[in-house]
Amino acid sequence: MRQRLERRIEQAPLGVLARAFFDQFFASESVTSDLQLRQAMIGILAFVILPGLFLLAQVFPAYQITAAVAAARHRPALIETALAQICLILVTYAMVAVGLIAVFTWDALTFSRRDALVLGPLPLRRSTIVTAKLAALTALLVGASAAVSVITAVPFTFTTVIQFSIRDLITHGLACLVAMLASGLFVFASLVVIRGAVMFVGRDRLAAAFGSVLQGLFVVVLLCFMVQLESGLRAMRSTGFAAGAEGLMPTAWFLGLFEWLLGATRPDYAVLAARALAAVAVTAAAAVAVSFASFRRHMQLAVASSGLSRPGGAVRTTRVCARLLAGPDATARAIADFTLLTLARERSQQVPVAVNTAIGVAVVISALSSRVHGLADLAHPRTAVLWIPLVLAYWLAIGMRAAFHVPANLRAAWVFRADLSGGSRSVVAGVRASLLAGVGLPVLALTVAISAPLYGWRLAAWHLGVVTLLIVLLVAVLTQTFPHVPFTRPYEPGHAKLKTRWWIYLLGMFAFAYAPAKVEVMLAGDTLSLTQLVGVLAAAVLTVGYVAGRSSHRRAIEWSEEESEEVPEMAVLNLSGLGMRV
Amino acid sequence: MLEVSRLTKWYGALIGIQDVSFDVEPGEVLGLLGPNGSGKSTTVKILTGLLRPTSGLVRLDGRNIADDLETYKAHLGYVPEEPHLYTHLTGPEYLRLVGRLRQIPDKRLDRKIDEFLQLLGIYDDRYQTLSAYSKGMRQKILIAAAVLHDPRLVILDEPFSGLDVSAARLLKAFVRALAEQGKVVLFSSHVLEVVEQVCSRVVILKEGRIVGHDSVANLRTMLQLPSLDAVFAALTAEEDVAGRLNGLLATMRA
Ligand SMILES: Nc1ncnc2c1ncn2[C@@H]1O[C@H](COP(=O)(O)OP(=O)(O)O)[C@@H](O)[C@H]1O
Ligand SMILES: [Mg+2]
Repeated sequence: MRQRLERRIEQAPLGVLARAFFDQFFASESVTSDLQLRQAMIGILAFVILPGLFLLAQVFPAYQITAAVAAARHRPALIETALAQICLILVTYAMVAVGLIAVFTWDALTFSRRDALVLGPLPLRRSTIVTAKLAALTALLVGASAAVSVITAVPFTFTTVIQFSIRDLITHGLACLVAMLASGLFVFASLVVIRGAVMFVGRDRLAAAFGSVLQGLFVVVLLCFMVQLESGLRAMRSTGFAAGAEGLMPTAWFLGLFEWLLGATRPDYAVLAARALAAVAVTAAAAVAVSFASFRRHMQLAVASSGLSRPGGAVRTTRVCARLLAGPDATARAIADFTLLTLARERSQQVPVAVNTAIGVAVVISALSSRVHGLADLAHPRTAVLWIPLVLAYWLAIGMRAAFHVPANLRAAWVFRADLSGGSRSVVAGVRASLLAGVGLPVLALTVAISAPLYGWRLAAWHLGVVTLLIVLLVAVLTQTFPHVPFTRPYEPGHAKLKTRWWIYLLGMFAFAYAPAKVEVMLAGDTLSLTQLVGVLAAAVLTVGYVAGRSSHRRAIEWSEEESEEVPEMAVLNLSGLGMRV
Repeated sequence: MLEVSRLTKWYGALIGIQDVSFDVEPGEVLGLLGPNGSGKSTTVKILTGLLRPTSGLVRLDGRNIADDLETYKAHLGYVPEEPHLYTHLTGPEYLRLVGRLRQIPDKRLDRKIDEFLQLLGIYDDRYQTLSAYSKGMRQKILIAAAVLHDPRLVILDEPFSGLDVSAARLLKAFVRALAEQGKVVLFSSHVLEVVEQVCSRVVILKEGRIVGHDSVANLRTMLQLPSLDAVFAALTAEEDVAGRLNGLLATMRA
C-alpha cells in the first residue's frame, strides 16, 4: 500500500511533465489560455485533415468505376490492383500529413531554453524528463496518425462493402490502418532523429534554419501530392505494380506491408513488409536513443544558446540592397534593416514566408509537370516557364507581408513609439525597401538563371525588365495595405480570413503572374510590342507610386496609445501566420 | 524647463497617480522616490508621451508637449524600467536601429556606437545578440540608446537595476554630469542611497500622490531626521518587518 503510494508520488512529475510537453506542441511563446490551445489543436488538425477529405472525394468515384469495370469484365485482379493503388495513396498521404505535423512542431521536438531553465534546477532524473518528452511525442504521433488514418481508411473500407464480405472488409480496413500508422510512425521517428542529429552537429541556429526549410518542403510535397493525385488515379487503370523498381521507396515498403497483412503470397511483398517493419523499428529505436543521448547537450545548448550572430551571407547582401533602396531617409533604412534582420533570425516570422513560398513552388512544379513533357518543350518561351519568377515573387511577397503581421517581442515595440521620428512616409518607404530587396534579389537572380540559358540573353533581358517592373508594382500595392512598422502590431483574432479570401489570392496570382507571362509569350520576338508592354508597366508603376505617395503623406502612423501599455503578450501560433494568408 | 501640472492617471477604476505637479530646471537632477506601486513609472511614462494622462498637462519651455509630441520626443532620451529589447538583434544593431529612427547620419552613428560600447565595456560582445546579454549589459545598451542623440531631456526609470558596482558608479557620475551639461534630468528610483547620491531635488510619491517635495538637504532638516532613510520611513507606511519575517519562516517550514 505504502509502496504504491510512494511510487505514485514518484511518478507524478512524469504525468505533469508529459502534459506540459504535449501542450508545447501547439503553443508558441505565449498561448495564454487552454481555450487558445484547444483552438490551435483544432486548427492544425483541420489543416491536415481537409486534404484527406478531399482525397476521399477523389478516390471513391475512381474506385467505384474500377470496381464496376472489373465486375463487368469478370476480372477481379483489377480490384486488387485498385486497392493496392489506393493503399499506396493513403500511405503516402499519412506519411506527408504526419510529417507535416512533425515539422510544424519542429521546435517542440526537443527542449527549449525555457524548459532547460525551469527543469534544470529541479531534482528530476534525466530518464523522467526524457520519458515525459517521449510520451508527449508518442501522444502527438498517435493522435495525428489516428486522425489521419481513421478519417480516410475507415470510410474507404465501407465503400468496398459491395465487393467483399464483412470479414474481408475488416481485414482490409485493419491492414490499411496498420500500414498508415506504421508509415506515419516511420516519418515521425525519422524527423525526431533528424532534429536530434542536427542539434548534435550544429547549433540552435542551424536547427532553426533546417526547420523552416523542412516546413516549406513538406507543404510543397503535400500540395504536389494533391495535384499529382489526378494522374495517379488515371494510372490506376493501367495494370501492375513494379515492386522491383520501387523497392527502395518507403511508400512501397508500407504497401508491401499492407499486401502482406492481407495474405498476399508474392515473395516481394514479404520482402517489402520486412523492410517496412525493420524501418519502423530502427527509426523508433533511434528516436528514443537520440533523445536520451542528446539530452545533456540539448539542455546545455538551450541554456547557453550563444546568440552569436554571424555577419555576412545572403542576408547581408539583401540588407545592403534594402538600405540602398530605402534612400537617404534614415528612418526608412532603420525599418528596412530591422525587418530583414527579424525575418532572418526569428522563427515565427519565417513560418509564413516558408509556407507561402512553398505554395508558389508547388504551383510552379505542378504547372511544369502538366505542361512540359520533355526538353524540347523548353526550347521556345512558354507561360509555364516564363511565369516561374512571377509566381515565386508573388507568393514570397505575400508570405513576407503575412509575416509582418506576426508580432516579434511586442513589449520591445516601445522603442518605435519612443524614438520614431519620421512619419508614416518613412515607415512605408522602409517596408517597401525590405520587400523589394527580399523579393527582388532572389527572384531576379532566378529570372536570369532560368531564361538566359533557355532563350538567350536578348529575351532574358526583356523578361528581366518585365519581371522587375511587375515586382515594383506588386510591392507598391502590398505596401499600401500595410502602413505600419512590421512585427509591432498585436495579432488580431479573427484576422484569418482563409475561407472568404482565398479566391483573392488566386485572382492576384492570375493577374500578376499568369496574364503577364501569357502576354509575353504572345509578344515574344516582337520588339515593338515588348517595348509597349514595358512602357505600360512603367506607367502603371509611376501612377501607383504617385497615388501611394499622396496617400501616405496624409496618413499618420497610428499607435494604439494607452492600450499598448496593457497589451498582454498575444498568442502567436506558428500556424496562425499560415492560416492567415494561405 | 519642464513643468508638470496636476497630472492624474486612472487605469480604468484604479488610480495610477493623482494631482502630481513639479518643475525641473535645466542643470538639476530631480529624483522621483517612492516604494513599488507608488506611481513613479506612471509619471515617467506620461512624461515620455507613451501614456496619455487622464487630466493635467506637461509643458516643455512653456509649450504643451501634447501639441507636438514628435518634436518633444526628438529632445527626449528615455531609459525604461523594464529592459524590453529586441533580443534577436546584437547590441550595435539595436543602437543602430534607434539612432536611425532618430535620424542620426550613419557615419556619425557608427562612430558613436563604437565609442559607447567601448566606454561601457561591452565592445567585445558586439556580435552577440541581446538574448545572450546579462541584465546589466542590457541596461547599458538602454542607457546608451537613450543618450545617443544628445537629448536635452533625459528621463531614467530605475536605471541601475542589475548593474555592477563599478558600472553603477560610472553611470551615477554620468547622470550628474548630464545635469551639469545643462540638461533636464528626471531620475526615478526606490533606492534611497542612489537618489541621495544622484539627485539634487526629490519628489516623494506614495500611493500616487506627492507626499514630499524639496531638496535632499531640506527634506532632512525639515523632518529633523538624520538621513533620507528616516524620511522615507516617515513618509511611507512603516512595515512590521519582524512580524512578516516570522510569518515567512513559518510558511516555509509548514
Ligand atoms: N497598466 C496598468 N494597468 C492597471 N494598473 C496599473 C498599470 N500600471 C500601473 N498600474 C497601477 O498604478 C499604480 C502605480 O504603478 P507604477 O507607476 O508602475 O508604480 P512604480 O513605478 O512606482 O512602482 C500601481 O498601483 C499599479 O498597480
Ligand atoms: Mg516603476
